[in-house]
This record gives sequence, structure tokens and C-alpha cells, in this order.
Amino acid sequence: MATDDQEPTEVLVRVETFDAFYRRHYRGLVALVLALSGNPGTAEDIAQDAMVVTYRRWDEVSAYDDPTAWVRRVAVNRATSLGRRRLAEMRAVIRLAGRREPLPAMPQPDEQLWAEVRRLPRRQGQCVALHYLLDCSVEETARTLGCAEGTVKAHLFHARATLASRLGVPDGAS
Amino acid sequence: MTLDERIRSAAAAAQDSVRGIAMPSQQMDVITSHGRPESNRAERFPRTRRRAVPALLAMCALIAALVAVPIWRAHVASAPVAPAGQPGRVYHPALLGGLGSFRIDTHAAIGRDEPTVFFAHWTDLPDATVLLMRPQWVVDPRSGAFQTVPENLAEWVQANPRLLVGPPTSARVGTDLAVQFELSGTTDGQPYTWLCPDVGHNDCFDAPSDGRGLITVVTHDAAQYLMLGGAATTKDQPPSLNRYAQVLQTWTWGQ
Repeated sequence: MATDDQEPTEVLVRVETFDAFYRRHYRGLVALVLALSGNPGTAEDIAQDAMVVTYRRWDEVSAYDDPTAWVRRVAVNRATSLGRRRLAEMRAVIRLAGRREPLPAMPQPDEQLWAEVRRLPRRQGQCVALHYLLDCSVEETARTLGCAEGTVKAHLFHARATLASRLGVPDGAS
Repeated sequence: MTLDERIRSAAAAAQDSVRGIAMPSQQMDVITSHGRPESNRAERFPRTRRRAVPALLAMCALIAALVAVPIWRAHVASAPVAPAGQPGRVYHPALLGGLGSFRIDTHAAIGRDEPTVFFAHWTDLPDATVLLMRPQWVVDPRSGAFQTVPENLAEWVQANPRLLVGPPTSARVGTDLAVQFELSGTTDGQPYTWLCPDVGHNDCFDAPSDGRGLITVVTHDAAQYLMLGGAATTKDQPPSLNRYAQVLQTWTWGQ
């Protein structure tokens, strides 16, 4: 959702170091990937991968108007494509690794909602995660996903309708 | 409870679930220790230390050079030279499998691809380091004295008892002759073929006709090694490390 101090934040983003950027956005990135992938074992890996890619191109990315949108897009893409394709392989790795502290499980009703989000068409799920989980405005969500604001609104509309139906709750949207 | 309330609750729960995770600062130190932008480095060190660090580094480099040059000369003199189409010693510098979680960190290779006259791309892995999750990312001590590829990967893989190499057979990669080994014992269960072609380091090849060419060229002890992986197609993917499969791969593909 839009914030009133959006513009000053963007100015700060341009001058901050990668370390500061990393510390500010890493946890949110893990949450985003966790919501989209549903796999606690890989959420951190994918978030770290996205950060590594960002670091490699930090000179370029830090000059963007919105570096945050860029790293989120990398994470979202990896969560949906790379994550799925490598799922079988990652299971083996996770079994063997086994030493990483697992992320705490979410309460059942909340996990059920994210499970339904993951059942949505890919773009709808991404819009829901960015808009509601990371509080991205429609404009920010559109910029992150590289689509029009109207498209995001349509995705959110259809996603809400589907979620309300599947969860059996009223859609309280005005 | 309305949908908005459910979503708000789920978003809060998701945020809570990651609030307690440790920031992998050690991993970031490893990542950012390679090629950190000068602007970041300048902000990290105070002015007085900035003057001292280059002098210290220069002294270390001088000492390292004095020690390393004789060792390197002896190493080069004793290194076996592989004849054309034949492998030298049986190294597996391109394939890592087995023992726990690991990753490869390299500052120069990820995402680099260079189009060639053959309309193919290649990626290699200079200055890579084998890292293990224990529970933070640390350099694997089993990689031996070498800290960069290909030597440390070769040392690392040689210490891995799970990899099995089948008998060599003749093979052809494009117009190049090669010796082919079937590899098994990989943790992902995928079939892998290790080829030792008569090629130069960083040579590139036409992709196999099915577009599944995961091709690696690694030079070690003056012999070149090339690896084909059968795990994934590559046409729509940029070059990157396939760390999830516990296989270090670089590849080429046709356009």
C-alpha cells in the first residue's frame, strides 16, 4: 500500500550501501518467497540468491529508481520458476543439509490462506503477496512485476474473488 | 472473519515467521569480500585504516608472491600433460556431489556469458571457493590448500567417496573427439556424463541437437575437462550455478 513518504524513501535507497539495503530487505524477501513457494527450506536460499545477484550488479541496480522492486522481481521469478524446476533436487539437498534452523511454522489458518494463494494463477499469487504481505502499492506491484497498474488491479480483483470463494469467507472489499 | 482480516492475519504471521531468522552476515561477508565496490569499502573503514590497509595488503602480496612462485614453478614442472583426446589423471573438477550442503562462490562467473561466432555462450568459474553450511557458510577445509578452482574443486571431489566413474568410452562433441565417463553416485540421482575433450580452456561448442547441453570446460593440470549434465534444459535460462543439484555446471547453448 502506498505510503506518504515514498519519495524520500526512494532517495535514501539510491545512496545506501548494499549492506544497508541487504539488512533492510532481506527478511521481507524471505517472507515473500516463503509465501509464494510455501517451502521454508528454500525460502532463505532463494532470497539469498536474489541478494547475491543484486550485489553482483549493485553499481547498476543501486542507480535504479527502485532497487527494491528489482530484487523483489528477481526473488519472485526465482521462487516460481527455478524453485519449481529444482524442487526434486532441492529435496535431496534439504534432506542432506538438515542443519539449518527451520523457519517457525505459521498458524494453520494463515498457512491455509497462503496455500490457497499459491494455488492461484502465478501472477495473481504474486500480486497478492506483494500487495498484502509487503504492503506494496498497486503502482509498486506493477513496477515490480513489469506490468500495468490496471493489470495488477484485475489480478487482485480476481484473486480476492477466488480466495473468498475457496476459503468460504465474505470478500469485504469496498 | 472477512477476507481482508484473513489476509491481514496471514501477512502478519508470515512476517512474524521470518522475524526471528538470523541475518546470515557471515555469508554476506563471504559474498561481498569478492569485488566489493570501492564506495562501500570506503564507508566501512575509517580514514586512518584506509591508509594502512593498502600497505598491509601490499606487504602480504609480496610475501605471498615470494612463497608462491617457487611452489608454482615446481607444480607446473611436475604437472602431467594430457595427450589429445585422453584424460590426464582422473579428476572430477566439474562435478560435486555428496556430502551435505555446499555452495560455490565466485565473483566473476555467475551470469557471465559471451556470444561467440558459433552463436554459443560459455561460462566458467574463476576464483570459485567451495563453501559449506556449518551452520553458516564457511570455506570447506577439505578443499585443501587451494582456495580457487579448479584445484580446490578437484581436491574436494577427490575426497568425496560417493562419486563413481564408469569405464571410458569414445565420444564426440561437435567436431571434437572426447573421452566419455559415466558418473554415478550423485545425490540428485541424475545421470551425468563427464567428457574430456581435446579443447582449449574456455572453448565453446555447439549445443547438442536436443538443446540439453550443460557443458563445462575446466582446466586442471594442463588437461581440459568438459561436462554434460542431463538435468535441465538451458535455452531459457541464463548461465548460473546449479547449486541445488549439488552439481557445479557451466554450459553453452545454441541460439
